[in-house]
Amino acid sequence: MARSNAITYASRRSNHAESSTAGARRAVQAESDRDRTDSEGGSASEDDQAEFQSRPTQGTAQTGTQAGAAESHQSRAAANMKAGMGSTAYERLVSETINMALYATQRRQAIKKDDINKKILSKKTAIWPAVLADAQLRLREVFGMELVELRSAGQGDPTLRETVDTNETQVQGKGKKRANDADDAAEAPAKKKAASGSKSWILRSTLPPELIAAMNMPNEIVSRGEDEENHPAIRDCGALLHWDKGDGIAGGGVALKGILFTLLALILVRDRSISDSRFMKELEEKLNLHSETILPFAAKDSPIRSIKFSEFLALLVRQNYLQKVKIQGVVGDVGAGHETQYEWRWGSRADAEIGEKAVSEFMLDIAEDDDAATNEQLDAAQRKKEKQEKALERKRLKSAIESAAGSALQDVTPT
Amino acid sequence: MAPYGDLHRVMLQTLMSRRAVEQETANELYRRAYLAVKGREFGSASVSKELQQLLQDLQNKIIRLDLDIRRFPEQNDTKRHWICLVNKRPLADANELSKAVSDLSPLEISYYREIVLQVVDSYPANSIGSKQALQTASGLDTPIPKTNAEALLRALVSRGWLAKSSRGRYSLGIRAIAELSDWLRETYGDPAEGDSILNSCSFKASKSIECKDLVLTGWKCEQPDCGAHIHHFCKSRMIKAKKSTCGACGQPFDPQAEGGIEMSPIGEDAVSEADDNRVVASKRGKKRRSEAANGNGHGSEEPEASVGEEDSEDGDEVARQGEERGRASRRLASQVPVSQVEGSEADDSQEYESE
Ligand SMILES: [Zn+2]
Ligand SMILES: [Zn+2]
Repeated sequence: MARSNAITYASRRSNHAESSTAGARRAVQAESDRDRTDSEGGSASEDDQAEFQSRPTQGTAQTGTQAGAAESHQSRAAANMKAGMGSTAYERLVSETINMALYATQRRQAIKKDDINKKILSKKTAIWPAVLADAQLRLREVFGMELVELRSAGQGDPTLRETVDTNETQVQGKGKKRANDADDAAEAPAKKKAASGSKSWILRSTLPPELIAAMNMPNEIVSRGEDEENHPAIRDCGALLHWDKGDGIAGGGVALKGILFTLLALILVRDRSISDSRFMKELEEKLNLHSETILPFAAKDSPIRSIKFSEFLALLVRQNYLQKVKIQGVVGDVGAGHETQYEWRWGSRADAEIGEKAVSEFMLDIAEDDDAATNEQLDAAQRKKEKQEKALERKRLKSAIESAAGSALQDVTPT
Repeated sequence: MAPYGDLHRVMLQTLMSRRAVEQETANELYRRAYLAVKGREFGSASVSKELQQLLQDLQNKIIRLDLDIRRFPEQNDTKRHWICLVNKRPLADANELSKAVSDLSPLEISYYREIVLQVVDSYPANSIGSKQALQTASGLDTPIPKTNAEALLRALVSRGWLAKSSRGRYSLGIRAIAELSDWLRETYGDPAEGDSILNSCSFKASKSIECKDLVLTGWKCEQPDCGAHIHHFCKSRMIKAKKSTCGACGQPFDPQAEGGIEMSPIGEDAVSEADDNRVVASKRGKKRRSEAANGNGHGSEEPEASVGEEDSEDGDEVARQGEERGRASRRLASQVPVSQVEGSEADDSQEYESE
């Protein structure tokens, strides 16, 4: 059961946020649907170029309604720049951005604004809002994916903004938790939006979560050649999404995804951050995981067959699923001033790609005892009662998780 | 034509996550995608036809994003085809290889590049023995231990960057053909080099139906002043179409016929099995590699095909010999989607034309 859970949840690259952004996304999709119908008559790329040119930058560019005045000014400037550019040259910027994003996603990396400036925009950095908006349209319409900006490493703490790209972030004192950030955000949304951008983006799916779950169900496909000797059978895991095929170094397969979810869960219920020493102790005592533990690296296409737990943790930090934060001079902690201390938190990719809600669902599914559901002996009424009890229990567990986390659980980062 | 929708997006993500999928596997993946999106089983219609239509829709969408979908036959297998998602823009230099081979570490990429260059240098065998592949790993600036190199080679084969024959020789895999052909042509396609792995297939059934892919295995026409190369399966196709003549010089394939041509094998059939365990290193190869490393494209003055120097480590005899020079290799311009040449194969003919 744990395995199938891991499979289902491992893949939540999805946006199941039912926030205003979802509505905005639907609107954008509806618009591109319309454009598509318009251009369906001819398949020549001329049509598409025209469509590309005429699409309004504003409105579609902003996913929220609370786009600040500064931003709308920026997008006006971008729109003007776009209008002043040849359509081919402009289209090139968009396609290069998309290509960069697709390349990065293969390696589980984020694309960074600095790189985009350097490699794609060069002197035309002001055109970025328009390019980003058009790249989003293309990504959603064609690929069923979107770019989501990662929160910055120490979001909410103004002293941390420059340290976005480093994996180990220095924190003065006990760093603020994200729950607090959410409160800040509620008070001053516009200010937060301007302050929190990490200027790096990852790709995630915009397909419905049920569809994504279905796309991750493995069921091996064997394609036999004429004879096994000269044309050996080709075996495919059979899941529609098979990122490990392309990125053997990065994924590590389903089993490791299950461990990632467990790690995220452990951090979540410890008030969203846990000291390094305590984390390691719990992992060793409860899960028998220590830094030298060899984990199976299930990706068939990877040259690596196994990976040490410590290496796996380092990989997760590199990929931004986890964050190991340096704490210095913890106030009130006697004797802690001289020793460097670390604590573990969720990385920004975990927020953008997985979300706290999905991790709590994962915990609930693991905790749930599903023997009764399959018990044939029960009659309909008993079964109904069983179901109600289960729903209640789930609710109870959920609020327990929430109180352990310190505040309401957050869904994936909205775009 | 079904409107562009989630089925398209699901299949595009399916392709993106793999980059290369074998046709039969792709058909089954399409059935599953259909079920996942529509909530019902795919009906009785032909899967490969529906998939072909869908891939064409996808191609129309992604072509201007510098991506393309192409279908390739396996070079040593007349039946199997692969569907590949490829970058359209060729790589500028060897350092950009990591862009195409995005899934490897820098060390792995440098190893892979060495192997590709040795395969290029191995013409007409267009392949290297496994012993040589392993020795290359230990000869790198940062040597890769044998067991790691073996694991890496396995992964490269599994992912389609290399192909391994039943003889145990390594050649370019389907993804290398899909993604690196243009780069290889740009970098090593100097006509002064004469015969090389960069020969494109001479198959031509009509003005629009032709095959210009690299001939990694196949035949070379030995008619003086011809030297055209053709794939095994393309030759079979010509014979099937009652056109049993060389596409370039027009002489009959049958050596017994009037003016019939001799053909010599290209690919591992060009070397004896005794060669499989030999380790070859050529000056030319080293020169090329240093040029490539300097980002210096193709050299203009090439020394004549040197008989390679021994790789001292094993004291193995040099195997490279008898390389034919002089004939200008026909450098072919733009690639044509392989699909265009499928015309004569009624059941699985595909045309992923973009316009
Ligand atoms: Zn051919
Ligand atoms: Zn000929």
